[in-house]
Parts: sequence; structure tokens; C-alpha cells
Amino acid sequence: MRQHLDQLWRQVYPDGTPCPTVRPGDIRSRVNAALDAAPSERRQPMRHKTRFAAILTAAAVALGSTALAVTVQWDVLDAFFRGDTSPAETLVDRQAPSANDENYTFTVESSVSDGDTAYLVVRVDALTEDAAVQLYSKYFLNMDTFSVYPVADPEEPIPEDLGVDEQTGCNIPARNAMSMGVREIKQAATQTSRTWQLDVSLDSNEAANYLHARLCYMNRACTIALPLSPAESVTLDIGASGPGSPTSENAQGGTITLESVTLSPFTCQIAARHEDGNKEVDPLIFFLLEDGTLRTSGQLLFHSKTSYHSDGTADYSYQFQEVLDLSQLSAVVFDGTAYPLDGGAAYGVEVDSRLYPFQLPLMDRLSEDSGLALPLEALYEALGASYTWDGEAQTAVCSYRGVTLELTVGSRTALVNGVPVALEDAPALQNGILAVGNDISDFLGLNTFVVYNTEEDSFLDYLCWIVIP
Amino acid sequence: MNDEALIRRLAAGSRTALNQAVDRFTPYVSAVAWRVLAPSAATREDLEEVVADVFLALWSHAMDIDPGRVRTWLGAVAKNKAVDRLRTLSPTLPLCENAADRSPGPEEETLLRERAARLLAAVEALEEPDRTLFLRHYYANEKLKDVARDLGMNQATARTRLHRGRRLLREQLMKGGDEP
Repeated sequence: MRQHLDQLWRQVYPDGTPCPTVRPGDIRSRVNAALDAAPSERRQPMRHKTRFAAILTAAAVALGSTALAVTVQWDVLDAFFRGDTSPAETLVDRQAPSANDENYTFTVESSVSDGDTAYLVVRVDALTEDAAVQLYSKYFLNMDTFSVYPVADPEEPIPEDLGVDEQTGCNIPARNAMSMGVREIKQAATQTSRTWQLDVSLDSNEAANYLHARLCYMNRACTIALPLSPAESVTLDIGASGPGSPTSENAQGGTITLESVTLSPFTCQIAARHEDGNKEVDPLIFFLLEDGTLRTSGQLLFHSKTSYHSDGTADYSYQFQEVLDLSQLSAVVFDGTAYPLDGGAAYGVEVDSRLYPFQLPLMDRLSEDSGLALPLEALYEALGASYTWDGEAQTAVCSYRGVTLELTVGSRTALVNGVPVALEDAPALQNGILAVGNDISDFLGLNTFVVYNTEEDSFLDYLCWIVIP
Repeated sequence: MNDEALIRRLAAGSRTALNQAVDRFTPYVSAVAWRVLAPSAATREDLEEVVADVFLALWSHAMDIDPGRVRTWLGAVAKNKAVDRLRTLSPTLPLCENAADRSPGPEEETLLRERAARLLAAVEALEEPDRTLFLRHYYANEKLKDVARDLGMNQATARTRLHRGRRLLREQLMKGGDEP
């Protein structure tokens, strides 16, 4: 991935002298070689773990292993995935282990995982009046509120906390997941309880047989050891180069090499290599179903995270919008080639050109606080979808992928398959062209974003829209 | 992963976290070290060894670092280790970063070092939030949307600040303005 310092250098020193960067990859090689060659260095982190090892008390062991009878109200599959979640029902752990101290009860209501991510719904119940006040205080939810990380052994010692945050009163845990998403399920809130959904990255370099999970307003003796039963996944070895997708920093896209694609009912992991380290290019794949239909990434995936490496490789992680029934998926398609899930020989398929990313011009903001607008008719034309305009009623009716959208100039209410939906901004005519906000992309299952101007020294911050059907 | 979470993982002994720290902080650490080494005959090899030593120190002392001040710690260690390296290169140790005497080296390489050192000094002299914006986006290679979010500004505002800051730096550094 391009070093941003390169960009700053070229703009500050435009006379062409090269930016004297030290390559992180070279440093990594030196550092890892030194650590691998020095047993004392390698042991040092282990000594750290021993020094801060916690001994679980008998009470903590009892708390961690007792499955309290808790009424589960929020299902983890419903929290994270749309549509029919039945293909994954048998994978959900609903034992609802919990831990409590004098102030709180912390419960993992339900959980499910694959080899990459664990999904949890957790509930915090306040047991005292003061705890309820703290539960709803401004700073209750902060980066240290939950400590959740994978471990190989449930008895693995829990490191001593780094301290206590004076502002929040929350313990600062010594260990936590590489990345964790936290969103509150507000509909579940009561006066004395709050519920959150957590998606926890499982470090692929470490065995993940259990999760240690804790509310850090409780001490580390209240850590729950949650067993993991990851869903099976299938890995397709691709090893091919082809066109990748444009990104917000690169309108043209480029070539990308896909090394492998790993699929579970919940996530899609792509290992890739970039041909040009200075160009940001994302994978562009399609999903061929057993019934012969082709689905795009935009229809099926949420982008979760990307890890770039200094050797030009990158790991992309996506969550499926709906639980994927792998038995209904025939192949993954990349650059016109289908790679069957059953490991059969790859074969050529034709992909409608209108399913590939395309550009649209920017239109003016619909209001002072809104983002830039999209030209609606041009959007539907590029998608190859139907579009009709009633000049008298100032209404556009358009259909794409089974979704019929009806929009009227000046009205913040649209009809989506006949159902009224609120828009962020009312559509407007700009030089005779109907301009709409980007929120309509959600209705149509499109991935639509602006491309930023990263090269020119000007105040022109945006270049165009990119639409990925 | 933010800096705090990264240091916690480092303290727990994660080599993955160490590699991520190297990827994230090498531009900043090397720029700090370069600022010290610029007046000397230090080679690229010397610089890479100094930078690597900084990360080895990070690995050894992760448990002792305030997670919220990791950049400050890295900068201080980078400076100290660069000074230590200077001792091995020349019997005459520059007493400060602005020492006038410098050993002769290839003219172009000397120019590059000086420019890198002046650029970092100029960035560090920016007022907040631009200073943090520039250090995190350009020297720590973080995505602008992440930095902007943490600083409480939208991306358009962040880009405008970067544009104005770059213009200021260019005027300052290319026209021989006052040393920051």
C-alpha cells in the first residue's frame, strides 16, 4: 500500500527528489530475525505473562462455568444478519453463561463464530441503584468496556489489568481482541439493563478454542470462558490475476491477484496481492448459486476490515449480509472464471458487463448538511434498469432487482415497493436532471461511494461516484 | 486497531501486533532518527538498524508503556538510539540537532536527509489538530477517515486542513523560510 508520506513529500518538495522512506518490510525482517535468533528475547513476553498471571478463585471458577438460567431475548443471528438465518441455527450457542459481582451481572446471551469472527450478544444488568446510574452514564461505553479475546485453553491466566480509568471507573484490561465492533441493541434496553452486539476478530495466528469475555467494570475474576464451535468453512485456491474494484482513492481500479477465498456461512475472507503497491484496488468477485443466478458482492457482503502488509499482500474480511447456505452456492467467480466450491476444475462464465463497477458524475448537495447527490436516471441507465419520468407529477419510477422505487421532487418520502420510506433529503432537479441522495443505494443493494482527489493540489476534493452493483 | 489496543496486544506477547506496530510507526520513527543522523555520515544501513532497535525496545518494554503515549515514547527512544549510533560513527558528537559541523557524504543523500529532518520538524511545529492529523496520516500511514473521526471532524474538513497545511509547509520549506 502506498505510503502516505510519499504524497506529502511530493507536494512539499515538487522538484522531484525521491522521498527517503525506510520500508516497513525491511524493518520487520530485521526485527523478526533478531527475535528469532535471540531466545532470551523470545522468552521475555512469556515472562510478562507469568508475572501478571491471575489465579482464578474458586468463586470465579464457579461463576465462569455455571450456566445460569437466563431468558434469551436477542438472538445473535437476528442481530447481525438479515433474512432467513435458519441455515445457521444449529451453530448458535444459547447456554447464556454469566458472571456477577455486587454491582453487575454480565451475560453472553448467545454467540456464534467461524474461524475469523465471533459474534456475540451480551447483556449487562445493574444490580444496584448506583450501578444503574453508572450503566447509563456518558462514559460507560468506551474502548475498554468489554475485554473479549480468543484463547486456546479456558484456564489460560488472565493478565492483571493495566489500571483503572479515573474518568470512567472502568478497569483497563491488559488483553483484548485485535479488533472488535460494538453496537448497542437499543430496543432491548430497560431501566437497569443494556444489550450490545459484539463482533470480535479471532487472531488467525492463535488457536481460538474459547473466548475470554468480561465486562471491565467487574474485576478479572469475573471473566467468562466461552467455548467456541466455529462453523466449517471452505477455501478456494484461486491464484489468478484479474480486474479489481475501484476504491475511494483510486477511481480506475486496477489488477489484483486473488490467492484464495475462504467462505463460511458468516464471512468471506480474501487473501490478495496487489500488482502495484501504490494503487489501492479491492477484490471484485461474484457468487454463482446452484440455481444458476449470479450475485454480486454488493448484494451479499458488508466490508468488515482490510489488513495491508508491507510485502504487497492484503487480507480482506467481509461479513455476509444474510447467513449463507453454502450448499446453495456453486462457485465463486473472478475475472470471468468460476471456481467451484466442490474443488472441481475452474471454468469460464459470462458476467453481465452491467454488474461491473462504473462511474457517475457528482451532483450538487441537496441541502447544506447533506452529501453530494447522484444523477438518478444515469444511475438506472448504467444498471440497465427501467426508468420512467412523469414531468407533470415530477415523479420518477424505477425498478432494479425486484425493488421498485418511486421518488418525487421536493418530497422526503419515497415509495419502496409501495411502502413509504423516509429519505435523508428530498430529490431535486439540477439543470433539469433529477438528483437524489446516496441513501437510495441501500434500497437497491448498491455499494456507492465518492472518489477523493488524492493527487492534485487543489480544493477539488472529490472526483466522481463509483457504483458497484 | 488503535494504538492503545495495539500496545496491549504487544504486552501480551503478540508478534502479529509487533509487526503491525512496525508497519504503522516506521515512517515516524525513521523520520525522528533521520533528524538526528542527518548531519553525520550515517548510512541507510545505520538508519535501518536504529529503527529496528527502537522496535526491539518496544517489544521488550511494552508492559511499561502508557498505551496512550506510545508515539511520544517511540520518538524519545528513536532520538536516544540515533544519538547512541552517532557516538559509534564519529568521535565528535554533535551536541544538538542543529550542529553546524557535518561529515561529508554524497551530496544528494545529504540533501534528502536534511529535507526529511526539516519536514518532520515543520510538521511537529504545526498547531493542533493539524499536527496530529499530519503525523497520523502521513507518518503513521493511517487512513484519513479514521484520523478524522478520532479528531471529531468530517473527511472534507480533514482534507481541507491537509491541503492548507501542505501549502504552508511547501512555502516554508522550499522558499527557505525560518527554521521551525
